[in-house]
Amino acid sequence: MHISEGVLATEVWVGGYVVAGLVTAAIIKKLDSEDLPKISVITSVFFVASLIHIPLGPTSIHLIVNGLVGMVLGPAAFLSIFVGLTLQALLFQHGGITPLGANAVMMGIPALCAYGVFNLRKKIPLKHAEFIFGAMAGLTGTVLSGVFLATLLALSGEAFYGVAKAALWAHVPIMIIEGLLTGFTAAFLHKVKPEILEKEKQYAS
Amino acid sequence: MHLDIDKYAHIHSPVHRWDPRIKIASLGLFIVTIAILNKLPLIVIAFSISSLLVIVSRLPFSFVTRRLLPVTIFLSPFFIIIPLTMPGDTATTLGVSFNYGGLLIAAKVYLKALSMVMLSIVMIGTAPFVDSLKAMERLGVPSFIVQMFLFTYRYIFIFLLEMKRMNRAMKSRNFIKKTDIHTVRTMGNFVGMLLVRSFEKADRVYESMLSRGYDGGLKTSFNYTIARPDYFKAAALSVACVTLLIY
Repeated sequence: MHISEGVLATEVWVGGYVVAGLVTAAIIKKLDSEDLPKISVITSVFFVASLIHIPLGPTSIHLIVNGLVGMVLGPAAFLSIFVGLTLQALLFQHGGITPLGANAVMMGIPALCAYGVFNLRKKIPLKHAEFIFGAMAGLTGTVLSGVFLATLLALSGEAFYGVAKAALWAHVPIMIIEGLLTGFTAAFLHKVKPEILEKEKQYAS
Repeated sequence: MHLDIDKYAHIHSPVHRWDPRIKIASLGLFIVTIAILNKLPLIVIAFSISSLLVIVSRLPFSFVTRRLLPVTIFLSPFFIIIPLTMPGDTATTLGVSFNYGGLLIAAKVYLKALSMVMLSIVMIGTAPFVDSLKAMERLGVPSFIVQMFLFTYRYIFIFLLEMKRMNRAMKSRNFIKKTDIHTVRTMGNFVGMLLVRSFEKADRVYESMLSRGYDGGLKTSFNYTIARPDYFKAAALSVACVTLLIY
């Protein structure tokens, strides 16, 4: 999910850069050089995973993966998404240079929320907790991003109200598929390599 | 999906000879200028300058147009939705109210977006991608982030191959993607498997970097010097930006 070049009002994309810059600075402070290669390697996996297509009737959708990034990386997810979006903009012109900050906020803040949602599983013991909270994390990521997308478009002018509404509705099937898929991924990771889902062990710092 | 943005980094043109630091800063300034523009005649002038820069850069036409596809797909619904939903001066034909002012807004947005994307192709497509990243570091982008770009860029290619291999393995087991829960579950496991492999790889990468003396810093060569023509080109573009902003 991204907003393309030329759409956002100046105040909106500048504001996006300010928010994204502040969040990034706060997160970088907490990381050390040991985390860098790890976050980067995982960022490239997400980059590649966002190219996966799932058929939907006659068309197909591609994964957004921001809920999944939040679930796996925790706070560093914002940085990972920022870097991933920049590379998408520079390497194949998805999104763009001026809306980059706004796009990072639109995808990154929901990823942080998804992380919070996924962590609830420790407080609420359920059967199949990984699947349930993973699916909720995936939903949180995509639904909030959709809301951000619509809000940013609407903030850019009255003319975009209709587009904002259409964009939100168009994302509903993606939200459902992405939620389920994230749940399955969480369940798989819990079975195969549970330490990936335990953040405390990875970032001792 | 085309990852070969620097495929034509080694041809010769005045843009290719431009120092990457000054090139990125000047074209970045121009992109920001276009983002602010709002009047159609000015947008048309900016579009012409951007097209001229594409021609001067000698990047092949098909290479550029292929990269204008994503923005075109994203923005084409605007031409229908905005005129149909924008309030104000509407003309009603066959019971459908259509706002021609909305068509103008969509056209302005699309023309601006095309110009900006063309400029970003010229900005990044005329030097090896790694050199562009190093130039960004020299321009003040934090080293931590530039290093993340470098690593991520490197490993994207490795995981693309990994994904291709896993795809082939699934195909050989007769897996066909459909719109059903089985497909979603299988793809969920697929992503999980990619992650498991990447975590194992990440640890090995870090250990091998440590053994080669990695201390958190970036040590690379950057063989560019700024000469007088670099400044001339930057000055010409800055004058264009200021002129567009004044009018």
